[in-house]
This record gives sequence, C-alpha cells and structure tokens, in this order.
Amino acid sequence: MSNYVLVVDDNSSDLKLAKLLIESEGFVAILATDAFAALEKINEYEFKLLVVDIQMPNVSGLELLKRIKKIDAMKSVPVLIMSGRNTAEDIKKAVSLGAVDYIIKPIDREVFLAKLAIHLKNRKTDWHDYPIYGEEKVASLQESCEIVTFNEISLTLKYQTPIEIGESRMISGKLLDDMGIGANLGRCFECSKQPDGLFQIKMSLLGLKEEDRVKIRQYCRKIYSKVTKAS
Amino acid sequence: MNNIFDHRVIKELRDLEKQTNQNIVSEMVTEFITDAGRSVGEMRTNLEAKKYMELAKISHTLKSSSANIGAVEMSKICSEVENLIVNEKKMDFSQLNTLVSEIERILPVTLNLLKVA
Repeated sequence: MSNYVLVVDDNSSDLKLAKLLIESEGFVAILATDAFAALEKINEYEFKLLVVDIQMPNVSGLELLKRIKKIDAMKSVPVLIMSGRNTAEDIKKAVSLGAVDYIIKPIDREVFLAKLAIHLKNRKTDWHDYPIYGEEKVASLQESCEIVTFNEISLTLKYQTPIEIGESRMISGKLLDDMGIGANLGRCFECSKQPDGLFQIKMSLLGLKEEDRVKIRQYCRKIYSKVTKAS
Repeated sequence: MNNIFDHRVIKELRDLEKQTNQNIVSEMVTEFITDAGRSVGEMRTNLEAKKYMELAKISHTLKSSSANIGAVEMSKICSEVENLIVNEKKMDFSQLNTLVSEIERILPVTLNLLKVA
C-alpha cells in the first residue's frame, strides 16, 4: 500500500499548506498545479488519496474528477474536492461525480486533518511496503546507526549512511516497529541533517509506558553490543 | 491576535513544520510578501477597467493565500469582494471600490506584521 497523496491546485499557497498538513501526518504529498500534471502523476505513482481543487485554469477539478474515475486503477481511490465555492449545488455535483468529501477553502487546518484521517481510515505509514526504502535498504540503515544519547527524555540515533529529508520518518517508523513498540509512535521524533550530511533522529520518550522503555533499552543494547564488538 | 493578523496561525504552522523537516512556512510567507502587492495592484486595475470577473478571480486566490498565513482581515475583505461580484444580483460599485481601497490600506500593515511574525 502506498503512502502517497496527490494534491491538485493552481494556488501555490494552498498546495504548500496541504503538503505541510499531509506530511505532518506521515504521508507523502505529491503536488500538481493543473489537471494535465495531475494525470501524469497518476500514471507515475500509486495514490492512497487525491485532494483536488475545483477552480483551475483550462480543465476544472470536476472535469479532472470525471476523467480520473474513468481510469480503472483509480476507481477505488478516494477523491476529496476542495473549493472556495460551497453551494449545495457545487457539493452535490462533486459527490455525484464520485468525490467522497468536500473541503471548503480557505483551508481550515483542523477540518483538513480530520478529513484526511477519515478518508485514510487512520492508517499510518505501511513501513514494510515503502517503495523507495525497501526492507533491504532499511535493514542496512538500521545496521549503520549509532546511539548519540539515550536518557529518560529522548533517544538520539545517528546514521552513518546519508538519508534524504522526507524519508527519515519512514526510517524512524521502521525503527520503532523493529523495537517492537509499533509505528504508532512515529511522530515522537525530530530529525535533522547534520553538517556532515549524515542524519540524526531524535525520539521523544516522554509519556512512554515502562514496557516500551524496556524494549527501547533492549534495542539500544543490541546496537551498543554491535558497536563494541566491531571495535 | 489583532484584527488584521492572527499570529497563532504562523505559530501553529511552524509547529507542524517541525514534524516534516521542511521549510514550507518560510516559502509561504515569502511568496505572500512577493505576490500580495502585485495582486492588490491588479485588483485596482481590473476594477477601473470594469473587468469584474478578473477582479473576483484575484480576490478568490488572495482570500485563500492570506487566510493560510494568518492575514485574516485581508482574507475577509477579499471574500466580500468575491461575493459581491459572484453572488449579488445587483452589484454595488461604490461598495466594491470601498472594499478594494480597504485592502490597499491594510496591505502594508499586514506585510509589516507578517515580516515580524
């Protein structure tokens, strides 16, 4: 299952805000500024959800919706319509063409996030099926990490292999999964690219159950023993 | 929050940004600072040229862009301009002129507040 959400809007500010909201929830936003670019992206990626603005130049969002719903692979992909127009007629038309929901612009951040959660059925990243970082690559990254700090407040790990910004969440989620505490804690971290190009991931441990702390300690011991054996 | 600019919006966006490790908020702010002046200028030009649908389109875009970064008053007035053109059967031209003048008045104040946000 993919983690991609396509956002189609000719308003750059709305695109950026949508990207920020989508990626804060652990998904990857792919952006298109018109219907033609959107159709290209649809050929290129497998999407979990589409967010489409109605008012766009040349081909409207509703026309795009019609075309999308004719593509077999897209029939089951939910499409959320966004628009500054919110008459009953607009909403009915969008729904009759196959839209699952309607977001009124200007974007209300809380509403947008709530609707994302509903239509993505609260499913977070499926770590095992991430198309760029497959199992093998994630495993090799796990091998290359070292502990920077581990205390009651946080766990900081540094990777000896460079990781791209945007992919760090996937790695961090997989890491938590490997620790046996589930990917549901994927938001409990900060990540930063270091001056040497390597990546550092910091996870907040505040509020964790003791049993989860034990699992993290065991994981850290495993890394520590790997480092000491190597040296 | 004052009537023109809601600082909480930028703060909330920056909090979200920390989770994504990207520089989206600064890009949104810079883009708004660069584009808003031109958009407001085009509103006046289209009003004087009686190109009301063009004026409505610019208002529509600016309504969202301004709300996204916390420029609440500008968003509200843009929404009024758009409604006046699109939804009112009988357009009040004098009211339209007043609203565009009000946007022109609050633009520099909004930009100054945004620069220090």
